[in-house]
Amino acid sequence: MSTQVPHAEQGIFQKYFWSTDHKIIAMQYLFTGMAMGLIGGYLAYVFRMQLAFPGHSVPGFGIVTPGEYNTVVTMHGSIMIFWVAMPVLIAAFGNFLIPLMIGCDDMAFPRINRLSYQIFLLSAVVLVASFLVKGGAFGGAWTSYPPLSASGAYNLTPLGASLWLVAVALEFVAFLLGGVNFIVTAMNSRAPGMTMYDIPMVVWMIVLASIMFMASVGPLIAGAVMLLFDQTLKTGFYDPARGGDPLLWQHLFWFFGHPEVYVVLLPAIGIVAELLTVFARKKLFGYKTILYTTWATVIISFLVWAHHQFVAGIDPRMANIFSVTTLLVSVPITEMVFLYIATLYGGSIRFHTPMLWAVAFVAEFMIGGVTGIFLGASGTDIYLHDTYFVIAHFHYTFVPIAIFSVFGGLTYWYPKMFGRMLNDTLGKVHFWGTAIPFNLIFIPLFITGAAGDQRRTYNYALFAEQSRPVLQHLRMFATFGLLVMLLFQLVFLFNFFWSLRHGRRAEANPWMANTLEWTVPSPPPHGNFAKLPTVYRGPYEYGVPGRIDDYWPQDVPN
Amino acid sequence: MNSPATLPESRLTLPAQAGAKHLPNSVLGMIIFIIAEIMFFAALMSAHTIARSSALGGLWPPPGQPRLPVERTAINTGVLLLSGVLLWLGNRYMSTTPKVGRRYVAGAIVSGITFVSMQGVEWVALLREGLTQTASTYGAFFYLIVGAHALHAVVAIVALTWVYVLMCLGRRLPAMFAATQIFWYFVVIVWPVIYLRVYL
Amino acid sequence: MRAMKFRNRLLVAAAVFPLIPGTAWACPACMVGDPKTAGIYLGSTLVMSALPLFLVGGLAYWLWRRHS
Ligand code: HEM
Ligand SMILES: [Cu+2]
Repeated sequence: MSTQVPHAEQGIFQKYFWSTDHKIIAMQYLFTGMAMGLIGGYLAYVFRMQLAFPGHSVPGFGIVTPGEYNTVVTMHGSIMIFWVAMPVLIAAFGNFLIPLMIGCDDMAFPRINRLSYQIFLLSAVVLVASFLVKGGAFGGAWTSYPPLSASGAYNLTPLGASLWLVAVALEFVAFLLGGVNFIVTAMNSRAPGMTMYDIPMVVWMIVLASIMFMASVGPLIAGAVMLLFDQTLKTGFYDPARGGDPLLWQHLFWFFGHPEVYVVLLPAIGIVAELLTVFARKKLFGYKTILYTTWATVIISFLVWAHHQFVAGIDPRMANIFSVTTLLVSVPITEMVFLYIATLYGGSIRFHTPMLWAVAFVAEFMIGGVTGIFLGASGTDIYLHDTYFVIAHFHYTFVPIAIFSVFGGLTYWYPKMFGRMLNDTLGKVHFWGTAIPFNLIFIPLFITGAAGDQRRTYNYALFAEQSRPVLQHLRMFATFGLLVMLLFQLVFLFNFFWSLRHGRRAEANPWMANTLEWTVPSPPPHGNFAKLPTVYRGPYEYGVPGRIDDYWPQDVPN
Repeated sequence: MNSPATLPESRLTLPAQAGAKHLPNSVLGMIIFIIAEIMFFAALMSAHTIARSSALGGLWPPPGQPRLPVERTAINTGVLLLSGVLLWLGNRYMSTTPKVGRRYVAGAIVSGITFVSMQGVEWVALLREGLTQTASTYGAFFYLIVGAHALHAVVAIVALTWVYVLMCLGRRLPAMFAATQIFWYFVVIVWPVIYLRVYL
Repeated sequence: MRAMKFRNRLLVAAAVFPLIPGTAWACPACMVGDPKTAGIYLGSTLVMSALPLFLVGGLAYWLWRRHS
């Protein structure tokens, strides 16, 4: 039996591809997510080039046809949300951090965990393979609204559309298995002494996100099955001519879709909480308040989803209710931002690379939240809906989430993951080379959106009002911003892979942090803890008066 | 293992030390999974409700479509509920007289299989009468919802049989048995809801 | 005094506004369609929104009761 084979004799395949070790599975998710991120970035490059120089051949792609444009935009959105943000933020960080931070040796269901990654990998393969089928990958937008998505005659990508649905459904099965694992592990496997309020914030956030995911994904799977039947068996669930209703999809999609944005948001703000306290050397301001606020966010975010349909024609009574709840949900989020700023206040801040990412996350995310208010008010949304204003809004939330917090988390836990330090100077170059161009991309898009640029448009030269040179210059400016940002990612890739072999060796606790993962060697051995730890205090005891050290690890008796 | 005795009082109410109160992993995992399942079926039912209310001309079932076998399915519903009760009894006797308990579990499995088979027979009859997925949303929703339930029932029966065989071979699997039971109760309890909404 | 009154009037107007959406909202799509279906949409929206809260809340409450 395989369990009797000693570790040293495990083959490469056994160790890296068939492992049930949560750290290996985390790395599998991380590298798959990074690879998908490169594809998503390349797709953004293609469609931004088309928008800046319509009709010109894009280097590395060629002439973009209208059909290809739709495919490229659709796949960019789908990949970035479902195959980058979700696997990296929840699955990679969740798998790596939860057992280490709560002091246990592995997940509650290690083999289900391995199965989860394998299904996820299959979903990624199906998605990438759909580029190669006849008609190309799906081109009906990442929200996949019928009737466009239901009929190959409309979306022109009949095979791609079905493969997209299959890939999404597989992916959700993978995260369903992962989510059960995360919740059960965090509830049942905590080290002795770790009460509810000693759990590091990032673990709480990943667990709460998993709970939200579990409670919201069912309707989307139901809707996806119905859509797949419409596509392949020619049923009429969404076909009004046959008694179906296309609005139904929007309900099922956004029932999941809005909680989904919080599913990726929560792990990100959890990561940021860890970084802010460690590098400000201060206790997290209002741990319990943040926790309760997050619960409130979870609750309210189940009550706002119809705000994506203000224009689709929902019951006006409903539009009013959802306007109010949408504006309400910004209250807890705002409160969290204030608490984070209060954490920084008066701290002895150390600006290492992870801290730069964390602070930038807070700053940029605020812009995303504030612009969400304009969209949440159904009156203004009728004008702004489906313009580049919406695009800029959610990129100001999504890029901090999926890029800033991920880079912050990676640069912070890299020593623990790989046993080497990243180069801090290169890290800072990469930070500024990403954060500044990010704003250069999206500030112009707020303006073009407010000036009426509809999203998902192939070529604005075809519209008299939108073909004014001033708008075209803004679009070109945004594309230049993107090119600069993409170039600077090479700095990160170089730093990442070079440091794997040549970085300075990391000691167990290079950042002088409190949480349990820093009490074990870097990288942690199989089974994590030589002796399972006992927890004596909360995770954020930094700068406690009367102590010589300015930190106080959770497992030290006194 | 650290002795919890070195910990202050306030840190002792933890799952790791709570002993008997501590829910096994597989039971907790199953409950969380069932929450996702309930949402899945709730979405199907709400979609069905909307389609039903907006049916063309307010006619449901649409003209020319066969009626669903209300009475025979009512009997079949009874068979499924019986199966749930048998499993519950099996669980009660399992700790005291495992032999009796196992017999009840076998009864639950047999009545579960009866339910699924009778459903299959009905499907064949309905298909003959012209109720298909493509003919109307009526048929489409019927096969979607009832099919999704049948799929769950089959998976649950396979799992239950597996646990039953292992228990007959003398393995003691309280957590696994409990988790499988939860899944079966879920299958049993959603069915009457489906019956009321889809058949009546 | 006059300013107060104006503010109060504004508040009342704001409170009443959501109740008269049909006339206040110049949306081309929202008033067409069958009012019965609209009602069912509203109802199922409310049920679907509340259901996960009850399920997760119920589980959390049950676990908490078991524990204490
Ligand atoms: C303060 C809180 C927020 C408010 C009030 C808000 C409001 C809105 C509204 C009303 C829309 C619909 C706009 C339209 O289509 O016309 C929207 C779109 C969107 N929001 Fe937010 N939002 C907030 C936070 C977030 C967060 C945290 C994320 C991501 C993590 C996010 C991601 C998105 C996405 C992806 C879309 C576009 C969906 C599409 O493709 O149509 N939002 N937001
Ligand atoms: Cu939303």
